[in-house]
Amino acid sequence: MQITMSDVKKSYALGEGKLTILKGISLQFAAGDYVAIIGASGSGKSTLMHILGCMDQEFEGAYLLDGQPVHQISNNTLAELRRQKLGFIFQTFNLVAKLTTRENVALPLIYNRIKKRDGIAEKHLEAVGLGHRLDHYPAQMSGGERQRVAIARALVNDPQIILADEPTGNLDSKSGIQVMNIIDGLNAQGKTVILVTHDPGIAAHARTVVTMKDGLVESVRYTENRLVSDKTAEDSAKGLQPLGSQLAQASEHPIKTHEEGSSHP
Amino acid sequence: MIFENIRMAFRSIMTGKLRSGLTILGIVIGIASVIAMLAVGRGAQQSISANIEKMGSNLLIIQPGSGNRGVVQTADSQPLTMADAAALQSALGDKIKVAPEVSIRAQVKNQNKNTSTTVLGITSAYFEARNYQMAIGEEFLPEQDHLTDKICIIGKTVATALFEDGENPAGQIIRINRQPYRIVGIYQEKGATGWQDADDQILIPIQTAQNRMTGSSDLRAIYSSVIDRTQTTAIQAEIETILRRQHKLRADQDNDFRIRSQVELMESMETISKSFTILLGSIAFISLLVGGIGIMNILLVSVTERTKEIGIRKAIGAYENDILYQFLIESITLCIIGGILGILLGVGISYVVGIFSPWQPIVSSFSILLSLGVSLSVGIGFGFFPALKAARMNPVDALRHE
Repeated sequence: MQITMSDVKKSYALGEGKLTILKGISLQFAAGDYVAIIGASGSGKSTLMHILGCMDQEFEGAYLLDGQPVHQISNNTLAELRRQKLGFIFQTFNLVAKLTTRENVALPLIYNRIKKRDGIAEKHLEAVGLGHRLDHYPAQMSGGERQRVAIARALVNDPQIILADEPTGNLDSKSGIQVMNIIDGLNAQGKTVILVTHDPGIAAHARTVVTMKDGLVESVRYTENRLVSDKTAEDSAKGLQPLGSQLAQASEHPIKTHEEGSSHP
Repeated sequence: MIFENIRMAFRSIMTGKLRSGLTILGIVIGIASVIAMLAVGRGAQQSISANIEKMGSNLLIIQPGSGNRGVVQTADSQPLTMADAAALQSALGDKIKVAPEVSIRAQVKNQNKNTSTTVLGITSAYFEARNYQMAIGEEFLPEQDHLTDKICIIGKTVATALFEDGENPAGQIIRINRQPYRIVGIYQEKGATGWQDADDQILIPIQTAQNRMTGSSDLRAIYSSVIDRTQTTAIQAEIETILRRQHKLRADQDNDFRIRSQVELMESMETISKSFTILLGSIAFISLLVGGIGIMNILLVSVTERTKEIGIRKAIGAYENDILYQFLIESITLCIIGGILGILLGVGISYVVGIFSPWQPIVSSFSILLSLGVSLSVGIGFGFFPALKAARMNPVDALRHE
């Protein structure tokens, strides 16, 4: 398995007591999977995404990424994982405002100590249809264009895993479709895609849909069908079987499959 | 990677030119004042040493009054007189040149021009002992030492005050305290000695001064230039013995005169000018410190402002050290640029000070190297804390920052 999480918990100190965000998450994804994590606000899906993305190491439990134990590696190794294995796409694009498109895309190459960088950023920008915007600043571009710059940046070190946090959340529907087409294409090329969304239409692109509720995984559903949105809980439970027993052992909180679980994704 | 860090730092400095400019202003002013202050101090030191050298280091100055009791003369102290000078001359005439001096403030007039100046009554030995050279005319001759001729030799400042440009003072008659004196020469410029203008003086024969002006044989000082320099200390002791005998001092009485050597004077002057330099230097250093704190302040604000950018850089895989170096190099670059501008400004200020002050400030390569070193340290020292703060940021929290 490329990604294995067992019993991951995350809590913050809050005054005297503590606020628990993740109450014990166990998940496994194979390389090349297309995963959507859905759930209401406050369900813990963003926190889970940050841990998956190696940006947050302060959690309990175990997380193996390509065999690397994320929960116990050094800060620098974590940074290397981020730039070599992972590509991030954020809801708010997160481009450096004072750098041009070309410089933004080249940034992960610089941090990855790539000496011969000529043309790499440009190639990736052309691939997302922005070959004519190389020297523009983020503020001079539309949201859709900015998100495509962010995608080019995520891909520039050729990572195996793409993490997208509400990638279409700040886009109009036309740009959203464009961005989702690119992401679908990346998965078709064999990259693992994990996206966080609360939009069932976006989640429908995925083959594995993880539903979060109150810091726990409520259900995991598998489908080859792209229109997953209204499967019943029993179907989900059935889909879970091949992996279920293994995960149940690893987790204090066996994955729940509520009857009413998928009615409001 | 270091090269990339430097490029990023420059990129960031150039993006906020106004802010960067204001940031380095403190360093510029700090370094400029260090350079200028040290240059002024050093210039003063050199000019004092040079002046003392000009007076001759084999010179012993004998003055009335107790050396141990400061400037206040005790009631029982005897004045130095011509008799003392004669005693020294007869005892040590082959080893020293004895040059007694009388000093009077006088009003000097030439037609409608007049000036207030110092009139020195001197002997022919004075010229060599005190290193006076003639620009025009002749020195007083030894044969004239006992005469009361009304002749004088004037300094450049006096000549300028009493005569028109291009007019030759030699041979002219001027009035010193209403008495007519003939100018027989002008001595070469000696420049300012400390805070005194050595060219604002008139030299007249000592007998003339005592008989026609002071009416006593008291002396202000006896200058003794030792012929064999290496003997200066031994001669100083001999002079002391002779003068004590001359003044009939008992063994339990203190000297009622002081013998000062140039070495002593040079040492005390150097001490003064050194503490002067240290004082100026510390004032300048404080302003540099304030400049450094200014840099730290701006960098801290900059780190807070750029929290999101730091989050992005970390999220896409920057090492903590990449961020640390980026901010540190930014700070160092700002300080070095500020340092170089400060050095240029400081050299400029020193030059301007040189135009208006009697001595020339000296910008030493030491103070330039020191300034560069200090600005580098300020950059590292005051940049480190903000840089560390940036590097240690949690990427998740940093990304949430707006």
